[in-house]
Amino acid sequence: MQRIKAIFLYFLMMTALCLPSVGSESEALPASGTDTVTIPRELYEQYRKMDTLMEILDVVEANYYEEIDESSLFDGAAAGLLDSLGDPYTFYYTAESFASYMEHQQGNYAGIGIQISTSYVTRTSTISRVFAGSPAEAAGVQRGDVLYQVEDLMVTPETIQDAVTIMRGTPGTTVHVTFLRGDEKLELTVGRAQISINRVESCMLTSQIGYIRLWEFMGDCANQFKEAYDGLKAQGMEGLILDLRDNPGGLLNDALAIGDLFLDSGVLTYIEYRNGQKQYYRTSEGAEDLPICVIVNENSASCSELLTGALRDRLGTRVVGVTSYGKGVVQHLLQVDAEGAAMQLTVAQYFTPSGFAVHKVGIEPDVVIGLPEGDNGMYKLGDLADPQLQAALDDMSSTLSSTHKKGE
Amino acid sequence: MKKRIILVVSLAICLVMLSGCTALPYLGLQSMFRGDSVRNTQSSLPEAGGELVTISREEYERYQKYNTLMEIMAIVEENYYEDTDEHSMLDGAAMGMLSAIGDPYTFYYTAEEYASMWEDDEGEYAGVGILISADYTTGICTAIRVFTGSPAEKAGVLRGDILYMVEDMYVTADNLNDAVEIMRGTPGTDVNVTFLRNGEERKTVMTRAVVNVNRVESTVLEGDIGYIYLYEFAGDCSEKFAEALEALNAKGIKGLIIDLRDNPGGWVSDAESIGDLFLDQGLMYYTEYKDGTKDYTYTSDGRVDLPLVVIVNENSASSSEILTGALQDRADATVVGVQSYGKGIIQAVTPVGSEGAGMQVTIAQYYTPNGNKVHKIGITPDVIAELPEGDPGIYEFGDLNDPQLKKAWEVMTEKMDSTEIPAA
Repeated sequence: MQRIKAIFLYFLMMTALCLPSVGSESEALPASGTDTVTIPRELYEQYRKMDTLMEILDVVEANYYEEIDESSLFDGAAAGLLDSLGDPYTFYYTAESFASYMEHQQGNYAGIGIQISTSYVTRTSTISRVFAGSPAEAAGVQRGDVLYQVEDLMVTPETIQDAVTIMRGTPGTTVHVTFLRGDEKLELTVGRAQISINRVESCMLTSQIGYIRLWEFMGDCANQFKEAYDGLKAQGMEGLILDLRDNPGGLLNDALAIGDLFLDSGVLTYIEYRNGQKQYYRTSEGAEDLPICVIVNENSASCSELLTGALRDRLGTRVVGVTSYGKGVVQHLLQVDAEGAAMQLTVAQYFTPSGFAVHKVGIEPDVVIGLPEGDNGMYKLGDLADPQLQAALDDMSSTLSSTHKKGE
Repeated sequence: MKKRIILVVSLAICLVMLSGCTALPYLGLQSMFRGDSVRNTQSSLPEAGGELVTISREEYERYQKYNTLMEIMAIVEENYYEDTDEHSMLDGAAMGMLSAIGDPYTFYYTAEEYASMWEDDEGEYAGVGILISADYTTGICTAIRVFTGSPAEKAGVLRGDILYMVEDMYVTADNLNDAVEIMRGTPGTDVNVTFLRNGEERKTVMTRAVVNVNRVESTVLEGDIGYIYLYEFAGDCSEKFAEALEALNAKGIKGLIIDLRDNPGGWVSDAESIGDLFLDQGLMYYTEYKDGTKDYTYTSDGRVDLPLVVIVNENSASSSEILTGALQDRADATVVGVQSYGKGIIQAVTPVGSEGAGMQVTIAQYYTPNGNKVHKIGITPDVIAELPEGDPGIYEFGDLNDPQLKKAWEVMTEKMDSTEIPAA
């Protein structure tokens, strides 16, 4: 899933928003003659706002020195309109980019097999995951490498989508990708192959303590999570370490399903719209009863923060790691035309059950532990050389021993 | 008619500081557009009053293409989590529409930017006194001129320094306009600017001041050779050029070196006026439009008869290349230096809408009188003269240690000798 959108959380509401009436062909009122059309004044006034754009298009079509593609100009206008809001989570999908996004949702695609996290602050795109068995792994790409150039394209937050599109393609073909690792520049030729993404990985760390790493709230991650959880339970798990490091979020429904596993009936989160209206998301009755410790880092965002906040507020779950990203806004994704173009729009902020606003703040861990300078966190699953994982294990061990003492 | 075609800022030159008193008369630019390009919004005023409006079917159908945009705007206004500004969304849409063309020279100006663009050409305001060139391929913005007496000069900024950061903003070709906007402001106020020199960050705090820009410098070099450096085709540069030439002639020069290095272009009308000084009646250049039609621009009779050498480098672009091409083809000018930039397309600037916004659009390619294409090719020098590796090309004006100027001077000396031989 080379798709970046590192940091998001939204509800899939493809058509659920009420669209204000802006006049489709079918809404035209009966014409008063074949050469004229009569429309509501309100609609006409909306149209008049488009006059400058129309004039620009006319100038371009009449004068530009090469042939132009009108539909790409309209895509550009839509993208520019949304960009003008200055919100990195609000943007336009062309029909093609949306199709490719939906493909990503399924979890299968042809590409080189990396996950990228883009920072709008440092303006770098860092490899947050290299999928097992992928061409990127075979080429030696490592987590923490910075994506620098794809073919001739320099990678910036503005070009990352295009870079991703280039890296995808027909299995068996190759792509030239340049990465930065420290001061080193790695120019690699990487093959494209069918990639399948597993979003959940798990293992037992000790005879009692299980470990689940959740990479993203997407696809069938909730089912995979449940399976992994059941598997660990079967192996005698008494305490769970839930690793949400570098988890950029995803779909709220998945966070809800996973949260529901551990939480009895109550509020998971609530969101608040511009007009002050609130919407509550609740977990239902029935909950697994075992201690959890969550690991977060600076790339844990959105749904990761929402889930962490809910577990902490309601179960007193311990949090280990470093302060999380701080993305506390919610997006809607909706289709905007018949050709399949879509938009993602920030519509609300969310809050933890106790009313804490995560946006631009993040969740501060109970046990603060960063990675030492120069440690890019490239550890194999469950490797206790990983200092954050070790800290979480220590914390869970003491939780378990105190629980046992209480039990005695 | 003086065409308002502009070969603007071919390398995205942004004048941080400009002065110059001659106001360029602002003419309606639509007149130069071909075809019935500009829609007459007056033609469709609806009948007054009532809840309904009747418009022509043609107009109605044109509006249908905008339904998606209107829908998006309405959704945002209704649902976005913060307050929105319709005006800035429409500006954004216009910017996005033009940037979708993928031509770095075709873009939108908001009303504020459009006003400031005209101010650049004629006005006087405060800045730090650097001229910046943006490379759209690498995104790198380089200071190509540091004006004498400017805050930038006082802060030790050198030609060739890379503009890296202005206040909190990393500078790329894409946001250079914003960076320039920040560097401008009230005289006496400070701005933090970081440059890169040889990979090293150099932080400066500059105090904005009013800076004078002279676009023409001239002197007489050894051997009665006149030398004119033209920095840019803007403001009153063609008058200044003619004055400089007259003054040099009065000193009895026997040949003229015109230096167009790092000259990014500007108004093509200035290139025409300057070319006309050296050319009799004939073709100066021609443009070719999308439909294959051509427009020819001619010079008129009466010229200064001097052996000419023109110096160009990789940053000599657009109007510089038009002038160089015409002088090379028709005035027997010897071109010295390295292959020029190769910006052989012409833009028009026009206001759009009713609120002062504007746009620049690439409308044609141009060719030299002999039919040489310039776009993505450049002008090939007759005598190649490169700067040695590691030489940033920072020399005092008229310094013959400058290897390219030295070569031009040698070529001119030889040229004057050979022109004198037949006479002897």
